[in-house]
Amino acid sequence: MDEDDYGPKSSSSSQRNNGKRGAPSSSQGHSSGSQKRVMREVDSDDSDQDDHAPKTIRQTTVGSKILDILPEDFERFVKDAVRLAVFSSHSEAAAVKRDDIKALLGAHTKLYDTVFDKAQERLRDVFGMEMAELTSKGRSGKNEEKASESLDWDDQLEDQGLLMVILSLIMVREGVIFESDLRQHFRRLMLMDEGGDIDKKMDMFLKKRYLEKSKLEHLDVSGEKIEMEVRWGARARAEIPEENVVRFIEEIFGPDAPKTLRESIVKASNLKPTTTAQNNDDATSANDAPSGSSSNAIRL
Amino acid sequence: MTTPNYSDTHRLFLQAVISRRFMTEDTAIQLYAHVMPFDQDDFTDFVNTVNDSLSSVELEIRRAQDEATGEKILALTNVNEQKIAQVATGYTPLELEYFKHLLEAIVMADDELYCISSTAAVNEAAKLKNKDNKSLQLTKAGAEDLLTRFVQDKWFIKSETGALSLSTRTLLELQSFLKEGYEEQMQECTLCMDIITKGQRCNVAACAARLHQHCATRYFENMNNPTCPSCRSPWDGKTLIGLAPKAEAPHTIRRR
Repeated sequence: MDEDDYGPKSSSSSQRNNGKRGAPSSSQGHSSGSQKRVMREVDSDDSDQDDHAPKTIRQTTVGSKILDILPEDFERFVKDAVRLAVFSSHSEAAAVKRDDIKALLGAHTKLYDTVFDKAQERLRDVFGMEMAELTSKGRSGKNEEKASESLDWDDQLEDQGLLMVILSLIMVREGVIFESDLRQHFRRLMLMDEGGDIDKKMDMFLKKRYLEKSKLEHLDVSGEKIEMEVRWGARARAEIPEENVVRFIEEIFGPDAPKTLRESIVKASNLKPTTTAQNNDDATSANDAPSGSSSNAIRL
Repeated sequence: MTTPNYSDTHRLFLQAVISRRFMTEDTAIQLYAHVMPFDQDDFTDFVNTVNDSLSSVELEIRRAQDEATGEKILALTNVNEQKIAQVATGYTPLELEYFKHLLEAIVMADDELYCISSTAAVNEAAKLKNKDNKSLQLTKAGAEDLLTRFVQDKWFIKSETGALSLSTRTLLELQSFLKEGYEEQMQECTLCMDIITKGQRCNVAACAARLHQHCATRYFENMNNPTCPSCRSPWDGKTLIGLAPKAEAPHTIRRR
């Protein structure tokens, strides 16, 4: 991906002893938009130095587009975008804002889409992650980990388990639960005792957009009331197929579960059932398809 | 770029590393064992493969040893950090100014002490000026809080006597910044070639040989009469770089 390819001499200069440079630009089979350099002139005494730049007119070609910017500058944008995404993934919000990526581009904001696509490629290639858009009022993308198996890292197990419980409770109520009812469940599950820890977890889930809260004003027997409703957040919708939640519930019931359990879950949740085997695959392998796509298909 | 043998195993490992940023080698090996339960090759080879891919985004997993404890550490770092702001995220520009100040003060300390007292550090806050030479608004209380944060975030170490020195994290993540900005002041361990701010030095004043404690232990392991790797004079390990344990740091700060 670097600047050592100067026409006819490219093969020798790219074999220079730096294994990290990788393949010369002409043979980037694995990326869909290969980055080529268009040279008008080549200096006969080849070197990697940029002092050749004034003598040659260089442009970056990405797929079929020709961009008006030096390849190494474009590359810099891509690298910076990837690093931003990677380090944001472990911030509190675990998301990166589109505006922050745009800010990296300086004057070249028109390049956003191309840079974004290249950054996605790089993210997938190196990290097995990609940015998925969180559908909400805000304009942001986020990082989602997709690997062939999601390994359970011990320190995250607790949070994951709790989240699945909450998501299940919401799902079987057709997608929304009163916060007060949720807390009732917490009480029954003995989660309220630990001196407010559950509140911290809830805050975290909200911040990371696994859950979302909204106000509901409604009339009750006792008059007008304001309640908070809790639903699946944008990240949960994107990362967690409903099939996984159904399986989670099945696992909790264990081997003694009634045979109609799945049917009951699907009915209670008002999910769309389908009998195609494909949905099973989509839900098991959290890799190829972005996990949000098959969220409404449940195997019966 | 990613090599042909780069697989999801490597990616999983990398994802775990990202969430931790900074960990002991033991933890890293545990993670490795977790993603690769069977067929474990050399851990170093594995990390090298990951680094080959990481180079395409100018990141790398660096290894170092804690200067005080010798504990082996791994950290995910930028390859070319030129600006502290890229590395120390979560601080305002003012806070970064103060950070840079302290960094410089520590590096410039006399006699290769590589530390300053916290008192001196706090007093420095009043002298902070921005580019236009106007003084910045950092109160003593603010400076103390900030200092605590820096220590908590593992940029500095505070000894029991209140001496501030550079942490392994700082040495790892700001390596290029330090080496290039303070070429004269930064030194390398004669054995492992990493930056050294705590350890032993040759008794001969003119000799440049320096060794981390853990490097010295290794180097002199089987030597009955330890001699300097550079000038061959007797090495007693008593001439130190960095602060002696329990000693107090100097209260004056030298500026460039």
